This record gives sequence, structure tokens and C-alpha cells, in this order.
Amino acid sequence: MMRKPTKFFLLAKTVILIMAASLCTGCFGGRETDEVAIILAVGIDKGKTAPLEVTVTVANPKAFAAGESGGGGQEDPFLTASVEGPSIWECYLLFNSFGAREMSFQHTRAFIFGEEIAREGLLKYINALLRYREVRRNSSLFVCQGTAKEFMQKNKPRLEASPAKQYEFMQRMSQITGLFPDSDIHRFYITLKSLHSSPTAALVGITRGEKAEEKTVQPLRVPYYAGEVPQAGGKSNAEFIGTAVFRKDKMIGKLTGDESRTMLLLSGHFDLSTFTLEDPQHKNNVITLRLRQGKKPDIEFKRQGDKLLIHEKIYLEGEFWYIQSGENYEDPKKKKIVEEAFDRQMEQLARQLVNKTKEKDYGDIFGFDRYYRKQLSSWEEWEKLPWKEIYDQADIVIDFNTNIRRTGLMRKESLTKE
Amino acid sequence: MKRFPGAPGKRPALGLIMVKENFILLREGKIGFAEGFSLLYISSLTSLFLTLPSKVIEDGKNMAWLLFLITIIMVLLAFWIVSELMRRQQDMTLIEATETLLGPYVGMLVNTVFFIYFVIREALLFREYAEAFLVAALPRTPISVVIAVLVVAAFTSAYYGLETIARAARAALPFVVVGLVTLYISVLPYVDTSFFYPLWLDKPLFLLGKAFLDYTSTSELIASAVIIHSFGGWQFYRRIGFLTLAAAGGTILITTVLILFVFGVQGASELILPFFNLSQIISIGRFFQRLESVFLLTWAMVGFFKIALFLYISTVILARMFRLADYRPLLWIVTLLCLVLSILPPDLPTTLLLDGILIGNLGLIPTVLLPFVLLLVSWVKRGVKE
Repeated sequence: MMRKPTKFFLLAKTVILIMAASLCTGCFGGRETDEVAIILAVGIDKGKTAPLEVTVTVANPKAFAAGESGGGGQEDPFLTASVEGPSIWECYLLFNSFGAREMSFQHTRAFIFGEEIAREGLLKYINALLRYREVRRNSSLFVCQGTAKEFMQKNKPRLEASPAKQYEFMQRMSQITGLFPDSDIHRFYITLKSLHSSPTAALVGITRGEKAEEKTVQPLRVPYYAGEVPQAGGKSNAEFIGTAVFRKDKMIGKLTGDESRTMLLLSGHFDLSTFTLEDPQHKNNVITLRLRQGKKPDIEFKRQGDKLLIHEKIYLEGEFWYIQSGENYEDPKKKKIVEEAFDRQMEQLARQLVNKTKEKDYGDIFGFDRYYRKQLSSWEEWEKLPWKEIYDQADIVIDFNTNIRRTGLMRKESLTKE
Repeated sequence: MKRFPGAPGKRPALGLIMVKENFILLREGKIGFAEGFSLLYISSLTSLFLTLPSKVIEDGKNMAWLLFLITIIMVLLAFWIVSELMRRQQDMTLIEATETLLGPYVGMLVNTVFFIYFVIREALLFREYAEAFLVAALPRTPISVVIAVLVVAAFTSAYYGLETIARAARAALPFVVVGLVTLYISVLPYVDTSFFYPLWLDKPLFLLGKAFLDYTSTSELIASAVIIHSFGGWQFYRRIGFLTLAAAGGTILITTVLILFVFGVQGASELILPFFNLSQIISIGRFFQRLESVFLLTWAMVGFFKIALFLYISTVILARMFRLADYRPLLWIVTLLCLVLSILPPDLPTTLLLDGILIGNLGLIPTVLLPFVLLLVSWVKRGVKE
């Protein structure tokens, strides 16, 4: 026979249920959306009166709320503020001293470091960020030509309501243009910690008011760093082009747009880009190709005495976008001429970039050490590997293998009547 | 008649008392294969959500996968020892078997070791899970509140008995599995398989030693032997045990390899909650990201099952040692004991250090060494009889 539950048990169950319901809501740490200021981007520079100057771009909820009631069209969708302090978290504390809302990093899309501070080393700042649970490792990491503060103050994306969306889209643009690496805190940190190769980060900058330094534009070259693109009236005054190169955690150099693209090709991180080359049969004419990585590069290592031979094959495939001369390169035999010409020119660019990394002491920015790990037999051997020296002395041979598979929407161009 | 409030319906979950060779045996109710598998599988997964993968990678470096593979084999061998012991002492749980083989005094002493082991395991689980919640999700909640919630949950579940916990585990299993599979697929864009290399090591003996001394001690090895009656006989117990340990080991192995591939050796070795970090980097498109809060539910669910099961087992060991017909009068005191022990370590690093020593190294005594000694005694006694 089962007895009915006593009043005590019913009461105990009710109390436990109420306690559980109230305690499990996480109310202790709960923050309503109108209690927090959402930081979209963080800029870090050297301070004038303190070691650091931190700049934040914060979403302005008034702009969105006012839009609904129809009265707030003048409100900026985001606000930018700076403060100086001895550490990132001290600055965070100071930010909270002049705002009613608590700063939140949960939706921060980008961390931008000024060039000066990047040259002194980033590890100590990234370490500080990675300990905090709100900071996302996959947030973008940019190095700014000039100061991050100036970049964030002047960055006014004209097509986006918020810079967060701009940074998120710019990550995708890296895959479409190949003119800067898709860098985030995670990849930078893992390269720094786990590999012998040199980490890289995307370069950003504000369009200079005056005309950028004169550059001789050659086919296959995009010889600009961020801030130097000869644009006028574009979608934004923020430019994302080029690469900041690091040795350990210190920035030691830069790559231009086309060098960045070549670096991505050699490292196997290239996705898609448009290439304009000189017509091999009609000088002063150009051909434009839209190419993507056909498959991951093949990399072989051979010992040649004391030296290492690194032989890399890069596979590209794509289509014609433009044949200025009207030559019938769609013909399979003639297509080979373009493919050959393109491959040789790209191989030359790759050689020049590899030489630049050796001359300027950049080290291995292509991540060849990731592939070389297969040649080793133990972790101890990997840890003791003098990869920088091996890379500097290595013979590096790059072969491009391009297949122009399609011709766009035209089968061939017919001759125009005289 | 004795009242069994934890047993709704016709069949009482507790109270059928079986007397055999002067032992009073509690019967905890029957759990089927799926329920038993779910319960032990989920319970074995807990370490996956804490610091274990990070420690394995720190010790095994690029060969962390081999370290854990060796560990799985060793755990299965250790389980064979326990299951062989239980085969020889049929119709008994580990507690009665110990007393039968070693006599009342030494048997009681050994059972006390089992009890202390589970109490310490439970206390450290309370603390580690509470700290993990604070680190990952509830930074402003006082730890006392988080531990209190865990204690209330464990107490309530243990009070309602094994059958209830096992059935809830069966219902939760699909959510845990779907959560893990989703995670595995979602982090693939961040996987760098070059972290698999160099594909060998200089010190294979070091790896073997590490696997045995630091990782083979698995609470579930003997936990299942304490509740063997619920499985309906040693054959089912052995099947469920082997399958559970292999499946849970495989799951932890896959996750450890993924963590290695995503964070690299040094990156992964630094993390305190690598599973949380793994779920934090998921980003597929603009809308499928920031999923750690979803994974926290899986995480919490798994933790609640383990602490409930281990509180139940700790109490049942004590009840069996005292030959009580019902374990529930002891539940309060065991819960209180675990709670008090859980707040003794001053900080999280000390808790993890204690876990490594008390559960990892010294844990080999109750989970491997004592069952092995018991098996030897069983062989010798059988030989003498024959």
C-alpha cells in the first residue's frame, strides 16, 4: 500500500522547484540588452600619457530606436571613444566610468592594432584578450597604417549601418579579392604559438586625402598598401589591402596587394581573385582572368647537400573575363599560350616575393613548416627545428599550373567590320 | 509497510530486500540496456567538458591521440579485471564481493577506500563543475550558489533512485550526441591536419607510463560494479561496461584530436575548458555563431547526470557497508560531506592539482589495484576450494 505524500514533502518539493527556477536563470550575472553597450570594434595604440590608448566603436541603440519612431534620423549608428591607461582592462574600466552602460565584448568583430604598437609586439595584448570569455577568438585582427584611433574615427562605411557588418563582410572580401589575408586572433595566435613560420595580419588604412604616392601599375601588380588605393568617392574611406608581416609577435614589414595575393597562393589559403596580365601576342593589350584555387598546393621537400629544396606546385582554374585584343584565345591551342604566359609571370612574382622574405628577414610567411612537419619523427625534433635558418637557405621552386576551363558567356569574339 | 516516495507507479524502486550469505542487498530497480548504456556513457563523458583534453595534449603533444588510445585499451583491460571479478562473485555487488573475499574487517577497510574515493570524486566534481560554470557562463554568481544548485540537483536525483536517473539519461542521450556531432561538423573549417605531425615520438615508454599512471583511473570502472544488480546480471553488466567505456573513450578521443587540430599543441595545452573554446569559435555564415550557450546546456546536462550518479553510488556503498535496507537516510550526510569537501580547495588550480593526484594517480588504487587484488584472492580461494 502506498501512502499519500505528506504535506512536508509537498512543501519541500515546492520550495526546491521555486529555488531551482529562480537560481537556474542566471539572474546573478544577467544583463538586459538595454544595460550593455555593445562594442563593435576595438583599436589599440600606444598612448601619449599612458602605455596604451584604447579606442572603441560602440553601437548606438538610439539610432535604431529613433528610426522606428521616426524622429532620430540624425543619430549616428555608432559612437567612437578613446581612453588611455596602463592595460586593455584598465582602459575597459575607465570606459565604464563615463557611460551608464556596461561595455560588452560579446559582439566585437574586430581588433585593430596601430602600426607602432604592432612593431613592439602583440602577444601581451592578445594574451590579455584571450583570457576574457566574452572575446571571441575568431574576431578579425587588423594592423592599421597609422593609428587605430584615426582609422576608427574616420571609418565611415557608406553602405553599412554598422562597422561590425563591414568587418564581417571584409573577411569575406579577402576570399573574393585575395588582396589581404583573412586574419583573425585565433589563426595569428596559433601560428605564433605552434608553428615556426611567421604570422601575418591584414593591413587596413584610411584613404589619404591627397593623391597617393605615384606607383607604376604593371600587369598582375596591385602595388598598394592600405590607404594608398587611388580611389575617389568609393563606398568607404577605409581600405583593406596588404599584409602586415610579423617575426614572432613583432611586425617587421608589409606586403602590397599583389604580394598578399601571391602569399595566399603559396600558403594554400587563396580562394578567388581577378588577374590582369599582358597579352602574350599583342603588346599593350591585357587579358583578365578570374581564377580560383583548383586544389591545395603540392609541396615536396628534398635534401640537396646542406640545403633543402622546397618544390611547390600551385593549381589554379577559372575563366576568361576580358580579352582586349579580341584574339581567339578560346581556342584550346591558343588558350595554352595564355596559360603558359600567366604561369611564367606568376612564377616570377612568387620568386620575387620569396626573395623579399629572405632579404628582409621575414622568415617563412607561407607556412611551409606545416608541411615539413611530416618529414620529422618526433615532437622534440620539431621543437628544436631551426626552421628560419633552413628556410633562408632553402631553394624554393614554385610551379604554377593554370587551367582556364571556361570562357565566360562568349564562345569567341568575331571580327568587327572595317 | 515501508514507504517509498521515490517510486511512483506500481513497482517500488527500492525496498525489495534480498538476503544471501548474511548480506542484505539493496535492489535499486532494473534498468535496461539502453538506459544503462546512456547513464554510463554520459557519466564517462564528463571529463571531456573539463580540462582532460588539454592535459592529454600537454602530455602527449602531437601524439596525444596515441596517448588516449593507449588509455582506452588500458581502461578496457582494467574493466576486464573488474568484470572477471564480478563474474566470479555472481549475485553480489563489488561491496559484498569485497567482504566475502577479504573477510569482514579487511573487507570493510577496502570498502571504506571505495567510499572515500567516490566521495572525493563527487566533491571535486561539484567544485570543478561549479568553477567551470563561473568561468564560462556565470562570472558574477557566487560559487556557493552554483554548488548549492548542483548539490540540490544531485540530492534530488539520488533520492529518486537509479532507475529515475537512468531513464532521464536515456532521454538526454540524443541531445548529447546531436550536440557533439554538430560541434564536430561545425569546427571542421578550423581544422589543420598538419598538427597531426610529426607522426611518431621519441619516448614511447613515457607515453605508456603516462597513460597508465595519469589516465587509466576511471571512476566508471568500479561505479558500474556497485550497481551491477540493476543491469540484470553480470553478462549484461559486462556488455554494457565494455561498450560504454569504448564508446565514451572514442568520443573523448575524437574530441581531443579535434581540439589538437584546431588549437595546435601549445594552444590547446593552455586552455582550461577546451571544449568551451571549441564551441566558441563556431562560425558558419553570419547567423550560425555564438553557440557556446547552446553547448553549455549539453555540458550542464552531462555534469548533472554524473554528479547525481556518483552521489547515489557513494551513498549506496555506505548503505551496503552498514547493511542498511535503504540508502536514503544516509543521503543527507553523504551530500553534506561532499559539499564540505568541495569547498576546501582554495582555488581552481589547487582543485585541478588535487584531481590529478587524488583521482588520476591515487585513483589507480581503488579502480585498478584493489579489483586486481580481489581477483587474485578470488582465484586463490577458488583454487584452494578445488
